[in-house]
Amino acid sequence: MMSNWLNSWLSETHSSNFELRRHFFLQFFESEFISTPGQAKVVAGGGLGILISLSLLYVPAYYHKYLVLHELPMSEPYRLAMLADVLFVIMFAAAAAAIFTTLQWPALFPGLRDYLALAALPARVHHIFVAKFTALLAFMILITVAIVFLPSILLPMVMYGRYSAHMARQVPAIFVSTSLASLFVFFSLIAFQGVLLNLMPPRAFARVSLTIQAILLTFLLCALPLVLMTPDLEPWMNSRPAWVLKVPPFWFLGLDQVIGGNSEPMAVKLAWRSLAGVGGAAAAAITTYLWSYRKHRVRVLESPQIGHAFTRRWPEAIAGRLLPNLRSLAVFGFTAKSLARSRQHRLILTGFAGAALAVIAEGLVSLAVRSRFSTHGAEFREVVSALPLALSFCSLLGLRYLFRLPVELRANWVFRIHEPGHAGDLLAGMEAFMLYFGVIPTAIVTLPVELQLFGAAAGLSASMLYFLVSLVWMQLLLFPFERIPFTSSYMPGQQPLIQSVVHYTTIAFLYIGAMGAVIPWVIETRTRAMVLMLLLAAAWWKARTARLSSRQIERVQFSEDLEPAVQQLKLAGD
Amino acid sequence: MLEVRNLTKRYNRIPAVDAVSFCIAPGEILGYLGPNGAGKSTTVKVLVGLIEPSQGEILFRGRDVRYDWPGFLGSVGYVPEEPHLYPQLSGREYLQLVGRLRGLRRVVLDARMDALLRLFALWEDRYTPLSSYSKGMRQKILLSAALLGNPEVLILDEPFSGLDVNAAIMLRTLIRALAEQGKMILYSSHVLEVVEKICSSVVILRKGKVVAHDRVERLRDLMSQPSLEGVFTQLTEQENPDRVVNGILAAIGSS
Repeated sequence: MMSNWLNSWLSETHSSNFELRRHFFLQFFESEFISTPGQAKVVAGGGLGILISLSLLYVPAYYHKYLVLHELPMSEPYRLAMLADVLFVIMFAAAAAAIFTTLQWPALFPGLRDYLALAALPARVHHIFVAKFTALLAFMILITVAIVFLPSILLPMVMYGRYSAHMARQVPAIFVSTSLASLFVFFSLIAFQGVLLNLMPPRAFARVSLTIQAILLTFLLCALPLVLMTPDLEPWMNSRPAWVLKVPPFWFLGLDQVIGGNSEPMAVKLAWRSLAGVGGAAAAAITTYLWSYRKHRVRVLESPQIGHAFTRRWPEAIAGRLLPNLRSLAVFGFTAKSLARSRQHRLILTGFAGAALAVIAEGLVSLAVRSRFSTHGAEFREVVSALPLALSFCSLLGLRYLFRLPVELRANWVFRIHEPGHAGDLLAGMEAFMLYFGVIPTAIVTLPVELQLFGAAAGLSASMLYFLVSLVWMQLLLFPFERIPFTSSYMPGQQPLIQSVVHYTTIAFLYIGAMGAVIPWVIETRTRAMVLMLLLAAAWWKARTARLSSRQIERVQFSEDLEPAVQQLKLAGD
Repeated sequence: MLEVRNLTKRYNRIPAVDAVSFCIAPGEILGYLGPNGAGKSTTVKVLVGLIEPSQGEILFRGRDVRYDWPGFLGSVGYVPEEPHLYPQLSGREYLQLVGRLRGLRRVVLDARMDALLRLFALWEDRYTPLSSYSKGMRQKILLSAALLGNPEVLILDEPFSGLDVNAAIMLRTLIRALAEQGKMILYSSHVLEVVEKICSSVVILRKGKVVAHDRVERLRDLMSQPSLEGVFTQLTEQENPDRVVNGILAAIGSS
């Protein structure tokens, strides 16, 4: 009954301000990378479901941890663990909010597309600005609630026991402190972009903005392992250093404590800072919106939009030398130019590189937490020497994922009409790109690290071995992949997300963990190193020949296979 | 000679193109006409291999092209109806991409590209991304790309779209000159005045079927019409425009 009324109300046309907000709100869920057009509701439902279910993951572990803590004779370990865990939830919510805001970075303020699309409609500039801001705020509140709602209920429940006091207050305390921490991050990022937007010339802003977005994303991904380590900070939770007053997550921990009934002066001081921080960030965000709105439209619409001229010839000359086959060269050049000029593709690749650095950061942070951080130790060498593996794993996986995402799909006719009879040459261009932009740069960039860690001879052997492992990984990734980059249609969500995560986490564990442990051991003697090199070279050769011979039909794929359900219903034309 | 025999394309058993046959001799410009949805673009897409026919044959120089698609497509220059290009590439880069896909050596490709860019008045914008090009400039890039390989067959789907008057006059002359050199040209368009001026014969489609295939003058004589437009309107049974206009005005509450 209620849902019918809601559906009927939503399908009705409302005021122009409401329709503008609805338009902007749904746009946050529309991206050709994660959904097909018109699938915003499905994406929203699925995304929120994932966020909510994340909090279920740590409940069993916490339940057993607090059972043990309640059985201890003193309450102090319980109190410290509780503080560390609440700090973890606050930092996790803030990091998640920061990642979501960073991913929406280009859409934080109305853009050229918004103005052009709404140009002929009876909407004034301030209506567009207010609608964009309120839609953004609604989006962020939805994300925040999805992240913090379950932890605020489940964490107090699993912490409940003989040492817990004011348990009824813990639910609102965690909910309010984590929500405000998320909103603090969100408003701060808007204010930061707003200041840049107003101070920089429009064309310079476009360039700087992408760099900042990439840096933020890399930083946040690298910070995630640190966030996940927060519960291990439990032994330090009793100290009260003065610097915590300058670190925002502690402000919100103070707020949690005050709402939970703690009246220590330090907690009160931190709580006041948290409120001032959120208020200040929100005021700054609103101020930059007000500051922008009068001149932003003029700056966006009236700045010269002539694209940057592409006049560099030397990359062409180098590519021409590397690839004698003209059709392979065509695909290679097209891939390089598309990747260099597509903002979203580059950002996704940055995300994969950030994930690689996060793997290394996680290793180093866990070493530091376990107090084994010595640059001469075997464990340190193992972690740092895994850098080429992590980079090649993520960069090759990232390139393969990116190649599936189209750039101007309707323009792919130019490849389709030139593909018959030349599929092998065209696919060789894609393979060459992965080699020259994925495998070789990783080997070159990480060579100094290996030489420093293992010395000249062993370092070279290690580098050679990592290079060969990357080549094998590349062949495995390309096994069922017969596409020209950026030219095929993409159907997101063909494989359940959780299945993909488990699949690639297992492979990453085997690839980075196992090879990262084996290679430092193997290079200790020349014979072992030679044997492994020969084995890897043979594996690469075998994988490559098997891949090339498995191509039964010499055709490039330009469209994703339909979902099984669609195939069964025979909805795909005749 | 390019010959299409009994070409049929069905979508969910509904024919978009139904048993269409025609041939184009060297030096001939064949106009391919029909109202929206008649099957013109579908035929063109089948000819360039973008979609597979449900039935029928395409013969080039007497041989079924299915036995040598790469060879046939290597002889075809194609201008699509919509100027779908890669916006991230510059005009020169796009031509370079097409030239390389066609296997043109650098020395040949560079000379042809530069000449075409100059002649189509795109030289100043050769390094500008295609996203900044006007519709007419994009059309010129498509025409340059189609001509780059000096093809024997030219398939032009609305090639005048977006061109200014001078460029349109130049293109009309160019199409005639290419035909005089023995190229086979399939010219699909809605602009009947241009078709009347440059095409030696026409095929008119209606609901996927050929309703007329003859020389323009002969069709005019047969149907006692002063222009190709009259022939077209009669054959395709177009609705009375006045009635449609009145209907539109009524629909928007303006009558």
